Amino acid sequence: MIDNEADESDRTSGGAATPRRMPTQNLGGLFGPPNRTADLGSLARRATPRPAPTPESGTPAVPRPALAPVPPQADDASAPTPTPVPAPEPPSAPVSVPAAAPARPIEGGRADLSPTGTVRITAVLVSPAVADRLAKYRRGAADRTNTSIVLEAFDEQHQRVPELIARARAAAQPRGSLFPARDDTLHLPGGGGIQVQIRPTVAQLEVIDRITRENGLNSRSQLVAAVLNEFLPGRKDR
Amino acid sequence: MNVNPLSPPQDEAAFPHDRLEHVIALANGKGGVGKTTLTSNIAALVAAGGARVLIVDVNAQGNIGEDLGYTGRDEDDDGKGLVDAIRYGTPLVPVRDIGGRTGLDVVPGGAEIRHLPAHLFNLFADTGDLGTLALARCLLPIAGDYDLILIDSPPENRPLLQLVLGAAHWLVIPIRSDDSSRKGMQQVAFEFARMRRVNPDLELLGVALFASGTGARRIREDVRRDVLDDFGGQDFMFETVIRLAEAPARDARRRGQPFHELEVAAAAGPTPFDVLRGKADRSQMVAGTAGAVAGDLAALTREILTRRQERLPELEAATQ
Repeated sequence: MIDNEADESDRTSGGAATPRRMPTQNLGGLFGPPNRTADLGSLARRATPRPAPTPESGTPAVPRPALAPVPPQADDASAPTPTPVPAPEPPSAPVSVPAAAPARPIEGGRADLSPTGTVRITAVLVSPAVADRLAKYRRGAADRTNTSIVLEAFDEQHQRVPELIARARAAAQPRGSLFPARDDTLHLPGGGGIQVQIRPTVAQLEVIDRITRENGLNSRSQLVAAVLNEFLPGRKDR
Repeated sequence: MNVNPLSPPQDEAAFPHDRLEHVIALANGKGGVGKTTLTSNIAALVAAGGARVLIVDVNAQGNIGEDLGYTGRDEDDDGKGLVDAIRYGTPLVPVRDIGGRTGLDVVPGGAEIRHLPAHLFNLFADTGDLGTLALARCLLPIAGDYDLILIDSPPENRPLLQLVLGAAHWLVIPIRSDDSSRKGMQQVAFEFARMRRVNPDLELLGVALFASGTGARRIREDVRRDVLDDFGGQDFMFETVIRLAEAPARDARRRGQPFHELEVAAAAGPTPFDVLRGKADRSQMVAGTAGAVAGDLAALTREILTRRQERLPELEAATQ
């Protein structure tokens, strides 16, 4: 009945029917993917504000702590190497070891619990700027991990390591002094207090450690940070 | 600040439980009832809604990592950060924005958690019930950074369950329709009553039926009635039931994605027609029912959060 009435009203005075046009409606939203999360964030928030954490207890959510404590530079109490992991162990390797010496990790790493047992979880300390550049670079490709980036950086930059160290030594040389600066106070750009976790295999770690020893450094972390600083896109630490 | 769980126990009344009001534990003495799936999906949904959410995985299997796709990646420490925090008082530092999900942080679980119960036996022996607040103490410094904290607990592990209940304000018990998971629920209930002496703020938020067939209406009604009886007539069951859907559940773990992300992947991925025409491989397909499960999970999340908001004023009024 309703249809008939509508038909009546749509007839012109001449009795001829004009084509009816249904008003356009935006149905796109109805068939689009449902927004399941729109209100959940606001539901999770409390109406009354939660007590703020006390300043001394506030721990900013920074990249996770080292799984194995990474020692700061030896004998360098003044170096700014804040780390969330207390009681770092002293460096366990001599400053310089002949290449023929049995290779062993310079710093402790945690053997992986995987059946192969060949992965060693360890951490390096980098500056906040290098940590940011690393995160940005990692997001550039789905298959990039901290570990793969470190290995890529070494592949590309290992020949420049002596130059980096020489530059750092020159910078550390006290002006007007006859005496060269101590190597254990050497500051390579790129290092800092942000911990970055990597999972190289034992064999990969040995290569990094060998380069570390060959260049007279006693900290793997220091070298990795410097190599990352040189390799990663963006403004380099100096 | 280092929070040392081995330090002399504080006065129980002095422990600031109110700062952990937004901590929800998912627990059941039985395994396979959906604790991990609910934890990872609720957290991911709420984070996708714009809130800041933390997952604490107190599970030796570390299955949260599979659900969110970080197992074996650099950020997966197999639970060592959590174990060290509880054993040595090192700060608990979550992995931020896990898998690129803004606002979703995780304290990973994993094989290292196996070392924890032996330590807890000694800790509890030394400090009594207050040792069960060790995880709560670790969470305190970072709790204010989050709108919601979810703790996934392991099955059949009393010391770890006590640790989880010591840190939570709310308890959600997932169950399946079998009697075994109701037994697991009863175990949690006994532990809940015991832990309330140490954590008087602990409250049961509700019971969620997980992985129940959509056609099993009678079974669902039976479960609801049984749970009602178990709680002496108080209705703690959530209305939303998470449907049984094996294919998307398998896809979710295989791809390391929560269901609402899987739903998007299913819509964008190849269709059966593409597979027939040889344009795509069957393994690239995502189960189309992921969206239905995502809908259930979103509804349950909404129900959990709403119930929490409703209960809060009641509890606050009761304590004044």
